[in-house]
Amino acid sequence: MSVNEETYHIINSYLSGKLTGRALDKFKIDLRNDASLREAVVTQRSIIKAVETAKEKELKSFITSEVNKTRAIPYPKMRGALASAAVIAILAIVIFTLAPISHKRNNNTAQEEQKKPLMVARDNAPDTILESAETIYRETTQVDTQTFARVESAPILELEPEVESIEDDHLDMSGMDTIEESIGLDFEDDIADKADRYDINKKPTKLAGTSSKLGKTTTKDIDLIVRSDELLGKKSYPVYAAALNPLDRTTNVGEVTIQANNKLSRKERKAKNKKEAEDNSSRSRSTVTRSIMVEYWQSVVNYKGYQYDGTQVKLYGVNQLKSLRFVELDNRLYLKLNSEQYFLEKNTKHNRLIQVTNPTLLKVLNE
Amino acid sequence: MFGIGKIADHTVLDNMKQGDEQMLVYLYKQHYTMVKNFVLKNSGDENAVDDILQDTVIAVWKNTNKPNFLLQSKLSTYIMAIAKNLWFKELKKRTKFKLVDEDNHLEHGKDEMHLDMDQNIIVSLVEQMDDNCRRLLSYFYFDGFSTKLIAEKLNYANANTVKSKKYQCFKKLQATVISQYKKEDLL
Repeated sequence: MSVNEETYHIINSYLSGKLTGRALDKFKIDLRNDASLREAVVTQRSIIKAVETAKEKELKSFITSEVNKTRAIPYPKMRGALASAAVIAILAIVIFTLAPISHKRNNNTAQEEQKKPLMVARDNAPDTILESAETIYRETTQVDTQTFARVESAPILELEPEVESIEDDHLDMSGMDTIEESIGLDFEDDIADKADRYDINKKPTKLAGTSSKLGKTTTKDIDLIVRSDELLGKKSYPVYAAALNPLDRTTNVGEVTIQANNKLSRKERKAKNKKEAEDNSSRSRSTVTRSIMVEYWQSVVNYKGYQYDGTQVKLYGVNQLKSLRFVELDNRLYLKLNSEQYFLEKNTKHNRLIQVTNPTLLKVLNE
Repeated sequence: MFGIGKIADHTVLDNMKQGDEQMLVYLYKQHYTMVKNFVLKNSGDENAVDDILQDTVIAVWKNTNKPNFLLQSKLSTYIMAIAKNLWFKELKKRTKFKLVDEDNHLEHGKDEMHLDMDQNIIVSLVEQMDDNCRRLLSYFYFDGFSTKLIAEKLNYANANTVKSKKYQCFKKLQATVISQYKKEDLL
């Protein structure tokens, strides 16, 4: 059956559900009464279904073909390939980035090897001025403050005058008896005025002077100079004893005295005890238990601190002109410097000065 | 084309509305793993995954071009929902098929086969149509494109031209179908 264009559009609307209202009712009545219209609807429905199926088939084959195209390189494999490529790229970047650094490091190591002095000036052995660089290098690494000793390349000087200067210096030094002559320290006079027991150990001071002199010397074989810590001076200080509660001690002493003088009258006893207590108290504050040797050192790295081994104190970065006071309390040594109290720990290490902050302890130490 | 990266949902839908068939491939690839896991977990196999996913993306394609379509969730959620429905429908069909009496099934199967054959013949006739007519009819009936869009795609003057052209193409196809088959075959 052939339908006209109008009927075709109405059937289309009916089949797609767009026909509504009176038009739909009218179409349904016509459909019931007109067999040819029913045939037309059935035919049109079949054709529309076939068109849809054909298109669906076409799309499915399109999807399959497109997916198969990409499946030729399986997706997980492609991912693996991409991951491998990424890893290779990262490795390449890392290698090319690190290569110059390692090369530079190798160069630096080579330069350090070259810098390591074959023969260097040694400060504490004037007789054997030149020692192998290995020995010095090993020793400097063993000492804490010298770990930071800078290694500087020596200026290139003429050979002949240098040798002469070494000989001259050595001769000069051998003729010097005191530190005043060798290095002529100006502060010593002042220190001598201020402190009674000012003492300078000649040997190390002289060595320090030697070292300072030698620090400037070079020979044909000397390429580098290792600077080391320098002893500036030595001084002996009294160590005062301190008690946590001096009054207790005076009381005990007083009690003993009371027992001894129980025959005295009450007033006399009281006055006497008071006097004795005051005497004891002042005596305890000024009691010198021992003396301690203090060495003033100048660190090459400007290290500030101390080293206390129980017998002597090495002070680093402390001005010699500053007055020091040592107090011992419960076998612990305290240093008063710049009106501040510092606890000195007994060990072989280099320590930093730790300030005492305990008010009770400070009160006792400052008495 | 869509190997790496993800296209925004609204872009996918816009492209689909414009008839970009590559979007079907994109959606297929994007949701293959998800649908596969679901189907395999629910008594399915690899072949079923392909069929379900193809039907799913085609359903999305058809729905997208409906005038009152509004996506109210993520596109992936919507696709998974369709895939699940299709798969459960398929499972139900398979279960029903097993329960049917063998004799009844054979008779029913004969009728179904006959109808399928007729439909397949019409489909083959559709496929034999000239390209313009086939595209015009599929744009209208399958894709649900507006006459304006069809005019743009097929370089027709306007929507009225599309309407009259569509009628001509349909009449031509109908004549071919009627000439080959009796009316009873289609009923």
